[in-house]
Order: sequence, then C-alpha cells, then structure tokens
Amino acid sequence: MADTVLKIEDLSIWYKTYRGMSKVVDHINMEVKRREKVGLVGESGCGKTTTMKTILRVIDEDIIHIPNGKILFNGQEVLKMNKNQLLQLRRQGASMISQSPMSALNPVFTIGQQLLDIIRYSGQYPKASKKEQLEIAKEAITSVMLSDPDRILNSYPHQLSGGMRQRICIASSLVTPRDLLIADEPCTALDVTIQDQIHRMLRELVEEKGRSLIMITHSLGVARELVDRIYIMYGGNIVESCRTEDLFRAPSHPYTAGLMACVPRLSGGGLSAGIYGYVPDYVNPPEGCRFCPRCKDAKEICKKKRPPRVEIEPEHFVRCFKYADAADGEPEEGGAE
Amino acid sequence: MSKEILTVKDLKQYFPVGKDRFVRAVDGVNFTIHQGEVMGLVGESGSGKSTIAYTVMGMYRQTDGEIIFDGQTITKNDKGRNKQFRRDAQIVFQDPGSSLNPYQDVRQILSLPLKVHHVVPKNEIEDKILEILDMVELPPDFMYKSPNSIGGGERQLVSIARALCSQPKFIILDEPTSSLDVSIQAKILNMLMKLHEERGLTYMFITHDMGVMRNVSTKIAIMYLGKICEIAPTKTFYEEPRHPYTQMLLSAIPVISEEEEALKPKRIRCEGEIPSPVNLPSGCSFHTRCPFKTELCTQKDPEMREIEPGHFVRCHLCQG
Repeated sequence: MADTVLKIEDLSIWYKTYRGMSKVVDHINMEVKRREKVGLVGESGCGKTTTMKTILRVIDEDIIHIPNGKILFNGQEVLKMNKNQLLQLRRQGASMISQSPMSALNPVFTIGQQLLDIIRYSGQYPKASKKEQLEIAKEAITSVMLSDPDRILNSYPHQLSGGMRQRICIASSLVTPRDLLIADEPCTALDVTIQDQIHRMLRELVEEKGRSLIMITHSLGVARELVDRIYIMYGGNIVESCRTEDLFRAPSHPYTAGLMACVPRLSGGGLSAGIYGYVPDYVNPPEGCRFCPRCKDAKEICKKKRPPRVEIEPEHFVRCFKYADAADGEPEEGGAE
Repeated sequence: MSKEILTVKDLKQYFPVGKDRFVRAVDGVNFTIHQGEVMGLVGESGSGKSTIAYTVMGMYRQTDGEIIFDGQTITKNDKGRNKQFRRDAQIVFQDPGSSLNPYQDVRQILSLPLKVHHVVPKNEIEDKILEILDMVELPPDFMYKSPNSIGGGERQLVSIARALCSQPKFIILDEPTSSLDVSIQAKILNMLMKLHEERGLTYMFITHDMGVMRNVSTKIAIMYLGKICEIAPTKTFYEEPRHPYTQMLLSAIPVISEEEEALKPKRIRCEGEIPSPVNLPSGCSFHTRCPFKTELCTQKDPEMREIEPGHFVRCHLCQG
C-alpha cells in the first residue's frame, strides 16, 4: 500500500478576476495511495472541483495563477509537464467523471463512436482491430451492469436515461486501464435508488481493478459509504483529514462538527440550527482562519493567524487553534501577485 | 381530528404524446391533508410529485378526479381557480433562480401579491413588506436588492416571503431546499417549521430527501409512477415500512451514523430503473423491480388497503 499515486504539496490556486486575485485554493496537501478510495467533502464554492480540474490541467490556464505548490502524479510533476506528457496523463494516467452525465456526452455521436474514439486514441491498444475495439467497448458496457450492449452502442445519449448515461461515463473512464479515477459528484443529478446502484458498482470496479478513486461530494453520507479516507475542505483549505471511521467517531474541526449536525437524520431528533453565514469572499479572505467568521468557538488568535496543521491522533490532521498553541500559527501569506 | 384542508379524490393527469398515447403522470391519487399537518410527498424523479402540486394549484386542468379545498370543490370551474383559493393556497418552487423575476427588486416582487389580494391599504405596503422580511429573518435592506445579487439560500427565503404575502393557510413546498447546501438547508427548514408552528400553516412538502422528510413531516406519502404506494404517519413509516418500494428507497439512503444504519431495511437491494410512464407495466407498476413479486403482481393492480389506522399500502403482499 506504500506507493503513492497522487501527491499534492502546498498547492494554491488563484483565479484572476476584475476585482483582483481570487485566492480560491489555499495551501492544500493531499495524498492518494494506490488502491485507495479518498473522499473530498465540502460545500459548494469551496474549491473542490477547481483542485481536481487542476490535477488534469483541464482548467482554463489563462484565468488561473498558481503561486506555489506541486502536484505529483506517479512521481511526475503535473504542473511542469509539456503537451505530450499531459496527453499521456489524460490518456493513461487519470480520468474524470463529471457531475452532469447530460453534458459530458456529445449529443451528435452514438455511444459506440464515442467509446471507440477513447479506445483508439488512448494508445493503449495500438494493435487492436476494429472488431477487437468493439469487443473492448462491449465489455466495458457490460461491466457497468447495462444489459444489451449492442443496442446501447448504437444509441445516442438522448435515448438513454440519466442513470444509464452516468454509467456510460463511468464505462468510458474504465475502458482503458488508468491509475486514478476522479468522480466529481457523479450522482447529484440522480435519484437515490440509482445513486445506490452506481456507488455499489463504482466501489466494486475500483476494488476489482485496483484503481484509486477520488470522490468529490458534498454529502457526508455518500463519503461514509464509499471511501477509506476523507478530506474536509472549507474555503480552499483542507480543514480536517483522516480515516473515515475516525471522522465519524470524532469530528474534530468545528466546521466538520457543524456540517455533521446539519445533516437531517433518518432517526429523527429534529433539525439543527445550521452554520451561520456563507463561504468567504476569496478576493479578500479573512486574515486568520478562513472559517473564523462562521465559527462558534472563534478566539482572538483565530482572527489574526492561520491555524497550523496538527496531528491529533495517528493519521488525523486538523487545522484549528483548538488543538495548537497560539505560537504555532502561520501568518497569512499571499498578497504578492 | 382537525378540519380537512385539502382532499384529493381519484386525481388523474394524463398528457398526450402522439396519437392515442398518454403519459400517465398522475394516475388515480387519493389523499387528505388536515389542518396543521405537514404531508411529505416522496418519490423518484418522474413519479408525478410536482404534477400533483401543479394540478392542485390549477396550473394544469386535471384529466379526471376531484380536489376539495377547505370544504369547497375547486375543480369544477373551467376558468381556473377562484381568487379565494389563490389567496389561501400558495406554492414555493424548487429553483428560486428561475421563479423570481431578475428585473424586479425584492420590494417589487413582494408588493404584487399584496396589491392583488388587497392585503393592506396601498400606503401600508412598505411596512407590510418589512414585516414579512422580518418574518423570514432577512434584513430590511434586502428590499432594494435584485434576485441576482443575493445568494441561493436568501433567494429561496424571498420566494417563501412572497408565498407568505397573501397570508395563506396552505403552502405547497416543491423541493424548497434541494438546490442548497446542507448548512443553509437547515436554516431554511427551521424557518419553515417556525412559521408552521407560529401561524398554524399546513404544508404539502415535496422532496426526495428522506432525511429531511423524517424531521419535518407528520405523515408521508410515497409515489411511484403516478400512484401512491404507501401513506403512513412519519414514525411508522420509518420504523415499519411495508411496501417493497419504500423499503428499497430507505435502504438506498447514505447515512452518517450507526443508529441510522440500523433503521435501514436490510433484505432488499436497489435494482433497475423507473419504467416509462407511457408504457406502464401490467399489474402492479412496481413488479419490474420488486424482488418479492408473485404471479398475481404481474396481472392485477393491487388496491389501496388500510392495514392499520392511518397506514395505507398498495401491495398484494401486505394483507394487514
């Protein structure tokens, strides 16, 4: 289990806006090991998708600025890759399942044409004949539990239901062997019964084929069912990271605890008050801890200094002054553009 | 039992698709909502939840059936609903981004219902708007903001405020929080429940989130392909679900504690997808996905049965 597929070190991502630099992602660290399922949980607008798009460099590079940090994919530095290396990464290294299956598939080509394109241009099957490629596509479709692959290969995306389309998206990222699968809220647009089936399938496929998975979600319940380790993201910071059981046993950051209290329980017990306020403005983020304006336990120190990352138990990291001495705080960096 | 506020009898809503073919969006639905109740309506997309809401509000003319609101049959009038009904019943839509006019500010949005229904004299409209904004805990300076300049949660609060303007008795909430984050969702649900208690409002709450439903509703109806398959008081519903579809739905919910895990039915797995409402399956419409189906289920559509007081199930296998 020792080898690491993806390692993000001290990465910041800024967007260029008319009001100035929007410091969306702020000094994050992340690690995904081989055969590991990792969850990235947070509210909308806290930088989850930005981070993931940067890993594949599919984000528009004219509008972002990366002041510091490294992304290592299988030991190679993604941010310094040239065009060919990047193509290699996207063809064989990692793939992404997008949030809306409706817009991820091209409406004017059949599913078969789209899957065959992926197989042909992935460079993984250079010698396969057309017939063999078709077999690979059919196998991928069967592996996502869709019956009648021939009919599906000949149909257009609009002829399939939302659940089927999402399965096709998953199939298309499974046709070629890759190390990492990034699933960006794959089930938000779908019903719970379909969601359950897709999650079960995703888990089985990832385990069976020995891939690694990053699951982006805003639902703690989904993360609990699917992943081994969770990163909680708030306002562009990773505020807490630990193994899934530890998180649900002892949520330690005030944001995690608040988020957990907000989820309406199936067992009843009424509603919580919610977390007061909204995600911070990234052009002028709070000087100290970014969660400080919404935090119930905020102290003087939280307003001035960035909390350090503290290991409160093995493999359980929290960024909060509750667990650190005031002297350990790091001053807010950035500003220089 | 308190007064019945809304009774829906054998409501049908078919939409034509081509020649002699229909989408049976709502296909024979019966339910009653009493004063002060919060009835949850749950189901997958395409099961007809929103169609019921729109038909009750008079946005569609029903194909067949009867709706009785506050003792009066409202479905007889061909020209839509009367003014009394439009004042007493209101709806909050799912997406506040598209249900608020982006060219109007909050003051204009809220003053229209006040004028139309003559709630207060003209010179008191501003004061009334401030009072309503206060009711939904929005600051007074929101009056001059446009829907585009405020966040999603606040926009939804403005839609709720708009529904409250005519001082209704009954509000239909069509997935009011499904597009919002959990931290804001909790705030809005709390607000709605506070209004429910303080003002004695009756809600019909449409959602697909069973966790939300558990905490806000007093009774729940589950819909599948245009039919209600189970109605039960909330507690019974979660502790003793009887219909296989209800069990399937409950087992599919991702939960965050062991305690909730224990409530989920274990013996059922989610399979298949909701069939097309144009070509309904024969017999019980759920039989294509039901793991317990028998010969009878594929042939005969089950009747709604009351297996204990207030608990109705539409299934051949639940015989009381």
